[in-house]
Amino acid sequence: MGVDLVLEAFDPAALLAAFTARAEGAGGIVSFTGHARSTNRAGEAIEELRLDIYRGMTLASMEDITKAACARFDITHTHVVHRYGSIRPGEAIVFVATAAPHRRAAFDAADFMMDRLKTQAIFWKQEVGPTGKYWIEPTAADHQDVARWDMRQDKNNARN
Amino acid sequence: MSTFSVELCGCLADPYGRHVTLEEASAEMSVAELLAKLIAAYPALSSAMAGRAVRACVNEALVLEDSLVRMGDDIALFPPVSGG
Repeated sequence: MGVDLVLEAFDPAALLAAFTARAEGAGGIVSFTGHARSTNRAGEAIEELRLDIYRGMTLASMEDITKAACARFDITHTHVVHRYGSIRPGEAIVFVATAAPHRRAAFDAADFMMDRLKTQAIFWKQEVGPTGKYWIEPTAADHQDVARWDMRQDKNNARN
Repeated sequence: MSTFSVELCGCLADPYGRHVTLEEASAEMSVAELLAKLIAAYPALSSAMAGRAVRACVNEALVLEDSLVRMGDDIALFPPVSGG
C-alpha cells in the first residue's frame, strides 16, 4: 500500500511497471490515470490547473481512502500517486493501481478509490483560463458516483 | 501579547495570502472566537467564507468550533474540498 504526493510530472507507465513487479503473483492488476483536461465543462480553455494541499492532512485523506478500499475488497496491493501544484493540460494528475487475486476486486477497488479521491481527498482545485481563475468543487455527478458505493454489498463491506 | 498564526487553504488564501497572524492578549481561545477575530482583522475573509462550511484544522486534526486553540498550535482553515 502506498500513497504519494508529487510536485513534478510522473510517468504512469513506469509507475505501473514498478507496481506490477511488486504485485507479483496477483491474478489481476488494474490501473487508472487521470489527466488534466484542456477545456472546462463550459467548453472554455484551461491553461493551468492548480492543486492546493495541506500536506499532512492531504496524505492522511489519501491513506484513509486506501484503507477503506483494502477493508472492503479482496485486494493485495494498492498505489495512489497524486500531483499538486501547477499542472498543464494533458499531464497526468492521479494514478491509482490495485492488484488482487481476481479481476473484479481489482476493478472495483480502483473505481471506489477514484470516486472517493474525487470527492473526499483534501485538495483544493483551481482552473486558470483566459477569463480568470476559478475554484472548483465536486459536481453532483461526483457525489452520485461516490454515493452508489453506500448502496452496494461487497464481500468485505462492513456495512453488511 | 500572544501571536496566533493561521494558514489559509484554497480560496480562503485569495484575499490576504496563505498565512495571516493575530495578536491577542489571551494565549488561548475557541475556534469560533478565532474565526470571529480573524474576520474582524481581515474583513475580506468574510466574503471568502460566506456560504462555505469552513473547517478548522489544529495540529493536523479537524476540530469543532468549541475546541480551544493555543498560541503555537498549527492552525489551518479549510474551505470545502475540491477532491483530487
